[in-house]
Amino acid sequence: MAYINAATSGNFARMLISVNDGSTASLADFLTTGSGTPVLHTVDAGVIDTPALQDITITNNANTFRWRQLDVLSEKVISTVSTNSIAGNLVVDPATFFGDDSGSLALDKGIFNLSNEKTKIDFLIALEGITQGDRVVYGSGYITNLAPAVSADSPVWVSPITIEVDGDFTVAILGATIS
Amino acid sequence: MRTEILTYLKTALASASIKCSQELPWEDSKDALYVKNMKTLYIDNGFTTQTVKIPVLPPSEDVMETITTVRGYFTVDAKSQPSGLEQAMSILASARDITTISVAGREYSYSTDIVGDTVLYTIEYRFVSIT
Repeated sequence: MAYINAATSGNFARMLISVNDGSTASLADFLTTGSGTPVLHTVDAGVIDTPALQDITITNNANTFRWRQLDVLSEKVISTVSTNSIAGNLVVDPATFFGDDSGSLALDKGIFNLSNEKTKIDFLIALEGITQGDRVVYGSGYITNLAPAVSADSPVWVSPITIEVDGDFTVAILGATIS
Repeated sequence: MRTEILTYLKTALASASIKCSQELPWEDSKDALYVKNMKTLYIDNGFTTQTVKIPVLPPSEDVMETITTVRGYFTVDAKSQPSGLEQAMSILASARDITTISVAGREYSYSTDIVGDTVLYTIEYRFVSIT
């Protein structure tokens, strides 16, 4: 039995955020082909590589419809549309959280403005890194549930983050090239 | 941290019944200086512990808590304690809040121990910073 190690040296679970360009999310929205053996890909310029994440949760909640029939002893069920979301908590880094408003890319806007302006985003969750052979989950959606908070016991700003997913998740394994 | 505390206490204790020495509490003929020279405070070198306050991904960006501890020692005669000792203890407590050290948290404590005919006071300052 294998497991997914989310925190190896130089390679770890990541959340990448890019502004949606009106088309379906693809790997090329986030990554460019890198180098090495296996290939360590590069996060594309303008993409937010969310720093200081405390946790990431991927939720695929398939809804169901149940009914009863007189000729069976138990309920029948079929799957209907799913509700998908990404949730996490992060320590606020001012550069990526607020951006510098110098342009329209995700990194320019920052996480807070992408939520505040209701900008549709593409996201990529790298389960164990962005090296060739690593598994990723990506899609599109909207950032919600930002609530930065600080307390005397924990004097750094921490915020939850939720991405409400528009449509399905796409699961992929990174190849040697990104196209 | 030791330098800032020394600088403050040298001045603050100038007219108190407990004086502050620049020296470390080293041992002379197996006796610590604070045992040989009563009513004199000796501040030891500080030591630091670092622990993870908030673990994050990647681990290299963990929010760390650094605690620097500085201890000091002085003795007084157990048979006849010096007058002004309470005032001196108040001055030692006030060193916790010196403005030349910028940290997120400050703690102060002291303990006493009767050794023979002397009372050994051990004071401790703990400064907490977040990085």
